[in-house]
Amino acid sequence: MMYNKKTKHFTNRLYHAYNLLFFFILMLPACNETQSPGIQVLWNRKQAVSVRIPTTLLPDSADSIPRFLQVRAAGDTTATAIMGTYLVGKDILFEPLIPFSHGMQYEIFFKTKKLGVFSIPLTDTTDLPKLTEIYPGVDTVPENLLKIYLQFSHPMQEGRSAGFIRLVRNTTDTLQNVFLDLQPELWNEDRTVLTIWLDPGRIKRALQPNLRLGIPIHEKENYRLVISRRWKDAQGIPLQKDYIHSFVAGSRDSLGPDPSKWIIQVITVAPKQVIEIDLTKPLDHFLVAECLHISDPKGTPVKGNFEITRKDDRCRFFPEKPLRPGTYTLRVETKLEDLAGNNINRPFDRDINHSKQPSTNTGYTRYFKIN
Amino acid sequence: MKKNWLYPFLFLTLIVLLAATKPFTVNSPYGFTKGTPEIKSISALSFGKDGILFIGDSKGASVFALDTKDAKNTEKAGAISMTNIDQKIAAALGTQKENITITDMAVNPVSKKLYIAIQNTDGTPVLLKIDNEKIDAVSLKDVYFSSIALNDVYAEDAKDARGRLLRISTISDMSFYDGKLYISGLSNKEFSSTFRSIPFPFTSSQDEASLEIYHASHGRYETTSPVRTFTISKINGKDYVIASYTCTPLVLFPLDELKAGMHVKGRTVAEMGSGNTPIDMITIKNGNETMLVMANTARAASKVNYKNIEAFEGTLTERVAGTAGTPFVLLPSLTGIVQMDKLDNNQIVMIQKKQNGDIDLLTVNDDVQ
Repeated sequence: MMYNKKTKHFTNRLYHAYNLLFFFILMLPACNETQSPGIQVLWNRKQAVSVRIPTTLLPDSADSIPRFLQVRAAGDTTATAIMGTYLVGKDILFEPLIPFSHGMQYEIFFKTKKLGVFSIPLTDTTDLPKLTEIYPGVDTVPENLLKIYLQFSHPMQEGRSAGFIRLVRNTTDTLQNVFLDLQPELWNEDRTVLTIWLDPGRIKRALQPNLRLGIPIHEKENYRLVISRRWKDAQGIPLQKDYIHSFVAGSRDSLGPDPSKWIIQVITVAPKQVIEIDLTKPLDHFLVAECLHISDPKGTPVKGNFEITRKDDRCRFFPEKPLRPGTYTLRVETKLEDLAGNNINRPFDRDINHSKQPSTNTGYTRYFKIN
Repeated sequence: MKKNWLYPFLFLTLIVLLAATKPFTVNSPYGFTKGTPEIKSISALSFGKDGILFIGDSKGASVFALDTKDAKNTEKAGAISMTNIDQKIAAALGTQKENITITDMAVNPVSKKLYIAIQNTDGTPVLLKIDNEKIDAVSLKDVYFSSIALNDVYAEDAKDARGRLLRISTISDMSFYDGKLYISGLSNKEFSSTFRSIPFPFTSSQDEASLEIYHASHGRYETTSPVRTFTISKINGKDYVIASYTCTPLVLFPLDELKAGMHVKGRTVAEMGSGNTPIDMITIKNGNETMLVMANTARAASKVNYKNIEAFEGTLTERVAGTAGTPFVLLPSLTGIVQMDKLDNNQIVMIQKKQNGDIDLLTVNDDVQ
């Protein structure tokens, strides 16, 4: 009983301490702004969700405050009042319909009198959005390259990629109609990875777009993929620089991944045993980890993580626990694709009149031993 | 002695308990309760009767029916227009136009007012109303509403072969017709292209039929791509769903066949050109003619005379290059349409992206070319 009381007391104190800490953290960003004394921006999850306006700033005769009070974007020549709700208490709390935007300054008016200003800082400069990876990362891609992945450090705005991605041939020639315009765009769940497709209609031979415009990229030509600095993250913060990824187009690739040719070996990455798989050619970066599964001699899935090398032609499996001796199974889902979208069962661009019927297998199995 | 206070006490307790469990129930013909709906996204808007607005929420896999209290009849709809609407909406939201996306719009057929759904860059959905060229917020707090969670929806992290999250296509379009809300989109079934019908007022009832089409420009039968836009109209005296998909096949489904558990094969009556996604579809009158108008992403809006749809009895079953089937005309002045709805039988309201990048709200008549 005594122990419970003490615990409860301690928990209460801890709870209050956390509350104070939370409040302190909430208030921190507000300290960095340009703003009139007394006006306070309130934050929640890094978003400026409301502004507190002290009643002392208001004229004494303010009888119907919300009707005459306006928050506007600074520099808005139309003097549009921002929509939201005013809560009148000891102070006035204005909560806009959407959070205030980073990098913008706002003004508070009572009728025609400006009461003050406040600004929302761009963001913490150590936490700016970046383009962290572009896949495939290899210098030479097949001329029938199908997909490019862009990986960002932060969740990004959706629905606007077409305006921020350019493919340039030989440094000067910006190509038109090379990417598939898909709405909704192909974002992962947290909007940090975007899949962009080179137009499959132009890649598949004999389709109308292919006959009309030809394939998007051509063997032996140099290309630059340019990602604009104007692209913003979900908080409205733009990328801080243009990103340029250069590559050359190689020959057409019509042969899918072939797990029978893969080289599987057990290596030691101190202090662990790691399974390394040479995939013999670059494959789809995100599908590799999704399509490969390892089971122990009893058929139980082995827990662990796959790491794919920068060139996407090799991967390593790091088991959570040391592997016991025995025969292990590597199962590969046949939906695994290479850079040209050829999967294990069928090429992406299949001639239905001449090529053999594609396999309907769902998996391919390889065995390997741990000594 | 005990009995003297026990029964009144129990009676009072019962009243308190009842009050606590159903605090907001009101006498509403639609079974609405007062509160704040948890709307995660606004993927589609469609009006029912009496100013009831249906809000399709793909992320939340639900549909909400909202009593807008905007049920005063306006006989003659005045043209609605607003230049640089994106900029004006952004100013009213205290942000920049780059930070907002217009996700759908719908005209209230009773008041003829326009409702617009916006998504902020952080995903926050906002509902607005254009009233006498003024932008107003439509409150979603303490409103009268009802909702229904959709069955058989994809898990939040399920992706298609292209890596696209499938949940966001749960609702691609909606339409209220003859007492039911109809919803196109995806389900998690084998044939994922689905057409849901939900009686309104909402009960626990909802039907789902799966759809199959012959997509002549792809040269194959398809069951997994969602309908992008549809309308329900009479063709030769019978109710049909007229639907279009990405790459623009125009397909008819008999409404009476779209019942629970049915797998319905549509009749492809036109291929209107690949490399395009249809955005919105409406039916308007043009003199004595009835016209289907469809807005497109990659080209001008197209207009199809219902007489030609009625006259096309067959179905496309062979691969075609370019266009085929029911004839249609393009309306060159309606290029760059972002959203479109019917203002009344003879007027179309639309949001259009001009060549100089401006985004305007405007109204055109049925004789638009």
